[in-house]
Amino acid sequence: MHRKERSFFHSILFRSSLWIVLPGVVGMLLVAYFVGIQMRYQIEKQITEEMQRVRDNSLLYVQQTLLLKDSRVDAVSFQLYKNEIEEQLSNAGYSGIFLCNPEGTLLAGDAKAFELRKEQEDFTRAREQESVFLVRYGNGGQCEVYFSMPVNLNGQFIGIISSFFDYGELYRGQSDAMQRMVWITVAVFTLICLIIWFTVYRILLPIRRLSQAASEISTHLADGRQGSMILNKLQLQGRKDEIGELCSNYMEMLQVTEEQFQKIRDDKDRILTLWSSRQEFYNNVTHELKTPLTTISGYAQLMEKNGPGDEALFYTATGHILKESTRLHRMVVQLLELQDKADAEEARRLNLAEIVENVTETMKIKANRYDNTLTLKGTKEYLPVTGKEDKIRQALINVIDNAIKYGEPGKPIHIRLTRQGGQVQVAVSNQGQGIRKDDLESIFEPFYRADKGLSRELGSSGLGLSIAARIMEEHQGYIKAASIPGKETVFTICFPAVE
Amino acid sequence: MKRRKHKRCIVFWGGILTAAVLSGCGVGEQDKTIVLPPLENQVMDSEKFRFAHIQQYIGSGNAENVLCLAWGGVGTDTLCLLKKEDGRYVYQAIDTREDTVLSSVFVDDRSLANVSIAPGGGYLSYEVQDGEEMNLIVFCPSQGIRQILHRWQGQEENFSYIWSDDGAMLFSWQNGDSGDAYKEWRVTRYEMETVPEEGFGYTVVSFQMKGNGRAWRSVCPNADGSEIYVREQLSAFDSNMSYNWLLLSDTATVEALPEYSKTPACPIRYTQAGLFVQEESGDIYLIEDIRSQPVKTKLVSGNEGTYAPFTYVCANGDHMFLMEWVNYSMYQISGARIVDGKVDGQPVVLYNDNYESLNEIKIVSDQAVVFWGEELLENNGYRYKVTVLRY
Repeated sequence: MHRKERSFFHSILFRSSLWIVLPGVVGMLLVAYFVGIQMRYQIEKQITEEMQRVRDNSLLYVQQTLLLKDSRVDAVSFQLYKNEIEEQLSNAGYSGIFLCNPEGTLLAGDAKAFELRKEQEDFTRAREQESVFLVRYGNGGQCEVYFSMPVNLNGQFIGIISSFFDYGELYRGQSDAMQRMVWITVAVFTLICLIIWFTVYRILLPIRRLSQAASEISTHLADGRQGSMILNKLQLQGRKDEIGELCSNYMEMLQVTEEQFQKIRDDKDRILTLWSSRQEFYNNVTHELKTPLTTISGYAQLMEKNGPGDEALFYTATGHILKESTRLHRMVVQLLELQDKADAEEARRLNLAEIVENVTETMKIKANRYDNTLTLKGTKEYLPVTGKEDKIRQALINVIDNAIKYGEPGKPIHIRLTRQGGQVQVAVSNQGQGIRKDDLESIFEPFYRADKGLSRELGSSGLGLSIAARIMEEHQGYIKAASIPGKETVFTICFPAVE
Repeated sequence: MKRRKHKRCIVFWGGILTAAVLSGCGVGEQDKTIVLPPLENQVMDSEKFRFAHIQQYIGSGNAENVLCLAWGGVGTDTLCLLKKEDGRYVYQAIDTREDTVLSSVFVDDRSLANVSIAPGGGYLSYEVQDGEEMNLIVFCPSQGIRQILHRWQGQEENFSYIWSDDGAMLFSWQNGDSGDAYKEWRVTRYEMETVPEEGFGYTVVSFQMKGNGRAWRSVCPNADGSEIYVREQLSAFDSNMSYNWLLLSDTATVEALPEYSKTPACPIRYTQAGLFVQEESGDIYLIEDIRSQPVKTKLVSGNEGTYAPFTYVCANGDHMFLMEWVNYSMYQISGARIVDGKVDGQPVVLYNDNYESLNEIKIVSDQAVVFWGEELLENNGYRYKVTVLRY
């Protein structure tokens, strides 16, 4: 079987890593962005509050300065005491100060720098009497604030104050703090990713091993190798988690599979054997049927040829034809019995001792003809079995008949009836040339004969023992044979005892 | 179908990632214009109450030699001070407009302590060691005469001396006769009586108080000195025991008052409007009708975690001034009107200056706030600076 190679990009490890890392990276970038936005928002909020204070203080400084000069609070005084106001603002920590009249004309401050400044939005809007500041963020952590405000005192617009404030230190401080936070987040996230990756790797490792094992098993199972051996190599069964449970179930499934495979193999062998037996059976049937027919046909042809005048031939031929036809008839009857599976007789409780005694009495006549004696030994108590009486009688007759035919003349045939454990046994023993060990296994097959010449001579069809074996099989019993060639042969019929 | 789904997934994540990368790198150079909200309310408040005139005077000589300052009187430009010259203490009256010394009078050549100049500069009080005893002396600069008001055995002690707004009465609390301030103490009103050609005399009204142990004691006379509010706040850390009395000078009687605060409270001033107190939280209250059923009204909330502002109230009780830090180098003075026992609007920032210039408010009258501070010289010395904020 071809093992399918898995791409790393289709692995759970890669996908889970992707699903953790990708959203994590995106999340961190978004967090960095929104933290940056939030940081600027906070700084702008802080600057706004400070600029409001700067505006309030600036108005106060202007008013204080003008009051100290004992002057009116108006545009003329603002222009007149511009230097004092600038000095006051400078003392208060203002830098980049420009003082202008309401029309935007510079009163105090650096004229050259004012050329650039006056175009800025904060200044242009201050001329429209709005207090505005412009925050300029630079890449190097600069955060410059340009603030312009109208000076509205006593309900009069008397001038414009512009100044500059450097918030770079605050911005850089917060920016550095944010960067540290982001880097800490990155480090923590990376650590979490590594832990998750390692955990997923650890979780998937036995599954990967299991997959490899399954692949090996699928490759080698057909060869009959033990898959469980491969699984044992994985050393996963000790685990008590889901993986261990999976492995245990997998092992169990594999064992069942192996048993099924073994059963299939056994069935296959049995089928092949049966097929072979069946062929042999038909060969034998053909042969056995053909032999008497050949005899009958031969004598019939001779009688036709010689005509009615050959009286000797007539009697010899009719004798042979009668004998062979009788044998043929008996053979057909037995074949029919062998195939008769739809027997209408119902199984019932029987006393086996009684049946055996009866059959023994019946068979004594035939035993006498072969110059043998039948002796029944063993228990005579009630031995109940369940079965069909005719069938049981048939099996006993076939076995005893076989013992009479193949027993040495003058030697006794013993029939012993015993009860052992859950079985009732009938042992039939005779003395004669016996059966070779090689033949013992096949004697219950139809038409099998250990000595074919002898069997036919004794008028055997070769079906008696196979019929007996089939009957015993029907009765959940069995028949077995043991033999010491030249001495004794014992056929034992076993029935399951019934209480 | 599967391929389309895969493609959509790639497009989605690609878009998100690109947006994230772009946005993550997007916080760079930027100009942002922010408009402040208009000032309408504050302008209205400041127009309600603001200083009409500011006057500053920077004196000559080092500030270290000036022991005490007082304004010569509301509506005048006279500054009164006690300064040390050549080891002698000299009282001077200075015309701040012309920057000329109007008068210079020798006061004492002994070591003075607890010096206090009466508003208007008519008298100054001080403690001085005289042999084995201490003397409380009042000096009248215009006549060059000194009177010993009180003598006691021992060293100088940081007793409290308060001049009335008209500068004619001196209020003090001192140890009782036993000398153990924990057990007994005394509140005294000295009323000066100037007799032309004959110098000056004084009358004394003294209240013997029973002490309740280690305690903070506050003495707050009213504007005309007829009533003196006294509070004894026991200083045990787990105790908020306090006692309140009203001392009636005209009848020399002591009247116990009901308590009005559940937390330690520091009296600021006893005025016509009522008693102004500041609690530990910085909250400022006006207690009306302290003699029978005190009614407590919060005027200003203190800011938790920050220094409580120094609070000053004029004698009429209709103007309140708060002196507080703005930042590490700036002080500001906020003010508010008190109308019908409540703050009219919110306290408005009226003045700010650096902390050297705004050292201590000396006078809060019904027309002006006078404070003094210092101005740094190039040789690391200081000159005293007096600022008068008229409203």
